[in-house]
Amino acid sequence: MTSHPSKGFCFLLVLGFLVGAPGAFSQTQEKPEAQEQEQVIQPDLERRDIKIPRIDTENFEVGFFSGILSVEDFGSESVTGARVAYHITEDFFIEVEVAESTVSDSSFRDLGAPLFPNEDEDLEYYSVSIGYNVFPGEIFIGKKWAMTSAVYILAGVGNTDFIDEDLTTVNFGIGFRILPTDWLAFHVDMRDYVWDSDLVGRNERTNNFELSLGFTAFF
Amino acid sequence: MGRNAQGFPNFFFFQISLIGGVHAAKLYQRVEVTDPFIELRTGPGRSYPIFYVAERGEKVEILKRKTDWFKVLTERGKTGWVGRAQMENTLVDAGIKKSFRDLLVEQYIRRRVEVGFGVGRFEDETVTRVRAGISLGEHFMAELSIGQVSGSFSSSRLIDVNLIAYPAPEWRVSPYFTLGVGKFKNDPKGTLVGASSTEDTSANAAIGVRYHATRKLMLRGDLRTYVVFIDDDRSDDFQEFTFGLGFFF
Repeated sequence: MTSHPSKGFCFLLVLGFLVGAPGAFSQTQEKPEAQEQEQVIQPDLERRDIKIPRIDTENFEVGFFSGILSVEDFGSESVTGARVAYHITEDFFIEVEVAESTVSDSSFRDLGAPLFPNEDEDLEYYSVSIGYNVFPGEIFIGKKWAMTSAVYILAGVGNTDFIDEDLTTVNFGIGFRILPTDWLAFHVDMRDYVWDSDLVGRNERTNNFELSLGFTAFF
Repeated sequence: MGRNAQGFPNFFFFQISLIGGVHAAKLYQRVEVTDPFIELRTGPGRSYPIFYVAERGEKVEILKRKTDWFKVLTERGKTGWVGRAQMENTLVDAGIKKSFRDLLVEQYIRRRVEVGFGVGRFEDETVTRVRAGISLGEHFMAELSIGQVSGSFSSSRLIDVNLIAYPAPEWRVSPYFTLGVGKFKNDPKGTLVGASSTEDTSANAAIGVRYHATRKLMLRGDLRTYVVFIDDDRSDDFQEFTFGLGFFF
């Protein structure tokens, strides 16, 4: 613990501004150039209004999912959540998930050793993951229907909050997405959420599996 | 990439005319094929089969875009997905003779919002960060960063507003410097008795490097010093290292 900001910090402050400053100057110098290019005589022409229609991009995916989360030492409970994904390229996407479940200590309670203030406690988690479409493809149903699909893998980090504890959580998973139309997708996801917990007395690494079904809309 | 000094006002004009156009009947961007042919695929990806080709001179309407794939409707009523490389060589037909590639480049230069996340070490604990930034000209960016440190005894939440300076934004591997202020909240774990949570003002400075991996995706790593002002005459220092990725919209 120190009573003043360290020397290194002050050095960074000065260095940051020294290096940033030339950039600021070069920007202000660009302006006079623009003024020089202004026309002296304004021709009396009627401008044609050119309308360039916007191309509708569908790189965002928003939706809900529901399934079962099995928390190590505490049994399986239902889980519901929301997900937002952004597709960066045809291969990679970023996904953010927020979900809610419950954890029950009933098996400990039955033995006369309750761990939680209440039998059922809320569990919330969020995660930020990067996904990769490993097996893009098409699913054929009968003669008329062809739907694009993909098997993807995911890995990410996040946080799980239960019984007043914030637990850094790493997740890995595999999922399947099928698109009946361009903008609608159905998902099946399997994930492993890994966090360190000391709730049952010792600090241990726990694997918490989740199986979920969901749907998303692209926009 | 050189930025045209006049590009900015043009951009606003362009935006206004776009908003005006949306209320009219559904209009699609029409382009003319100038390559010998373009290939239509059944899905938005390189592995989907080609089922049709549109020839030179044919006009196609662009219905939508997914990542770098464009869904087009040909004059003969075929609908399929065409890759960016082939679309770039088509000509825009809206009263201006302009290649579709120029339109895409304009869009790329206009990108201003950057989002990302990172992981790293905050002293000896794991830190995760989510960031969003908006560029302020070529050399500066304002960034909001939310971090969480989940330690063995307590968890901390860091919310910072940073100013980032890029001395050489045109380099593929580009260094940067940041300065910021924020809030540092610390919550002891529920299993500890008698500890109370705190919230203090903090300042931070960092040096970092970002690497433009692809057109949209970049990797970044930085070394950050945090100073938390606990009270009038006491402060605490923390070092943080994070590695992460970011992408542009």
